[in-house]
Amino acid sequence: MMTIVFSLFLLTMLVIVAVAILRTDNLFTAVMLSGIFSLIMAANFFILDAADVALTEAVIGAGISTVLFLGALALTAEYDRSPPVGSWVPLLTSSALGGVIIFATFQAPRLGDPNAIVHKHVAPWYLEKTPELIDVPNVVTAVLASFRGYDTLGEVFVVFIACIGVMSLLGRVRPRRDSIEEGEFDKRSDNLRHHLIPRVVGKMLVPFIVLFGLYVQFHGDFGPGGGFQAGALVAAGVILYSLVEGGARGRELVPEWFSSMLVALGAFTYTCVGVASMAMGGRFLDYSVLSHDPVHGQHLGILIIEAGVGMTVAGVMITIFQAFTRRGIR
Amino acid sequence: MDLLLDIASAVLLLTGGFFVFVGGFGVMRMPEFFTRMHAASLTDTGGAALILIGLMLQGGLTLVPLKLAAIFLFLFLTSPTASYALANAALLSGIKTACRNETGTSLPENDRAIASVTQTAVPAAKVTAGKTAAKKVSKQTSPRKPAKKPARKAAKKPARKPAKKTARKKS
Repeated sequence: MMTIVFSLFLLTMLVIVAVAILRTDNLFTAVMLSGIFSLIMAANFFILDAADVALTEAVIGAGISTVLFLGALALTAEYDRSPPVGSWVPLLTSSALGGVIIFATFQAPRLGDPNAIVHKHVAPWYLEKTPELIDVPNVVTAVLASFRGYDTLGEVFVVFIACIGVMSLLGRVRPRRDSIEEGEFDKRSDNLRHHLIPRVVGKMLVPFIVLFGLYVQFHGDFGPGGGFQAGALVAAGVILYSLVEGGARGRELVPEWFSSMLVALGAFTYTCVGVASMAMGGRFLDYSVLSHDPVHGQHLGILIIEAGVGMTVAGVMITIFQAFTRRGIR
Repeated sequence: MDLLLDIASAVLLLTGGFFVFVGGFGVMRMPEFFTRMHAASLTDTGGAALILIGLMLQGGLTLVPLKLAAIFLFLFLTSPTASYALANAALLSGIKTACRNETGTSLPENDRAIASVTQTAVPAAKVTAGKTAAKKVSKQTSPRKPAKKPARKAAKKPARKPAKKTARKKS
């Protein structure tokens, strides 16, 4: 009962925030509101028992993407151009789509219905076989990393390619005035170095954020977590450091060659595990052959590919953030 | 013992809830930005601290109170910092307080703080105004045509300055 009240409250807030994002002219406000939107969404996921997704949404949606949006805003204007008024096409299109979605929800099974089709297809098999074949408490990790290893590999490469796309838009070329800027940088308002309190507190939090990221990385077999969440958390720590100390210091901590190498290395590690399992007589990404004991092989394979996922995700976040801060120097 | 713990945690939770409520009420009702922010910061320091301690008492001798303590420590560090950053950003962007003391004049500290922020902008305006005025004087002896433009500029700048002054007096 309490859960229903709470989720109704959250969903109402979600709608209010979404409308507010659409209504506001000020892009800065819109960015902040979208951060709030993500946080509410994360709470919603948590109510639905999807702790892994909630963690990702909280870190990426509310944390990193807000920072990236702000970085993008630093390159553009703060206010939205007033949109063309009087066109009925967008309203009609969105109402029609919304109507279709609402109509579809009538056909959808009730939340948590054990007879729903998704719960009858492969899910029972996963739940039944995970303790026997893979033996990790967190079935989500087992499905993500082992049963559906191909999909996750695809996801990692999607992230990898997205990073390449963003970098080709933002450009990796060093601006010409760079040599002056590195020195002049500190006097500008790019960093918080002249604000003692945020700087001290921010720097104090960085190691704990990174530690928590590592915990999430290596505890993914047992609890919510895994490479995606951990990568985002570690990247959030590095980004926080760059925010309080300035982009130049951030680039000293994690050089750009390192973060972009991390992106490639993660995807490479993942693929290598697949190739290794083929070389050792199994199928692509079949970890059972990696060790003398199939279950142990599964553990080993999951550990390595999660590390690869974490590296790629952290690398992508840091690389994109650094590209933005570099562009921000004007 | 259990009863005592329950009562203590209930008192803490209710007080915390009261703080949160007052904070929310303050955000709606306070007259301007800084007082509103004060109300909001009450929520996430006082309110959160009391509620977390109340929950810790409910947790018993398990890992739960330790986790709550970690959350408490984290909030205790971050929310005042966030409030500070917000207030600082507001001050730098020139939001002025409407606080007055009993005599009806604005608080001297606030005025000084705002003056130190706004002064960075004012001297620049003065300098340019002075320059254009000097140009005007020097160019009055020269032929008419080029003198027209600086004259207009000079007329524009001082017109803006008094407006600023009155605005500051009001606050």
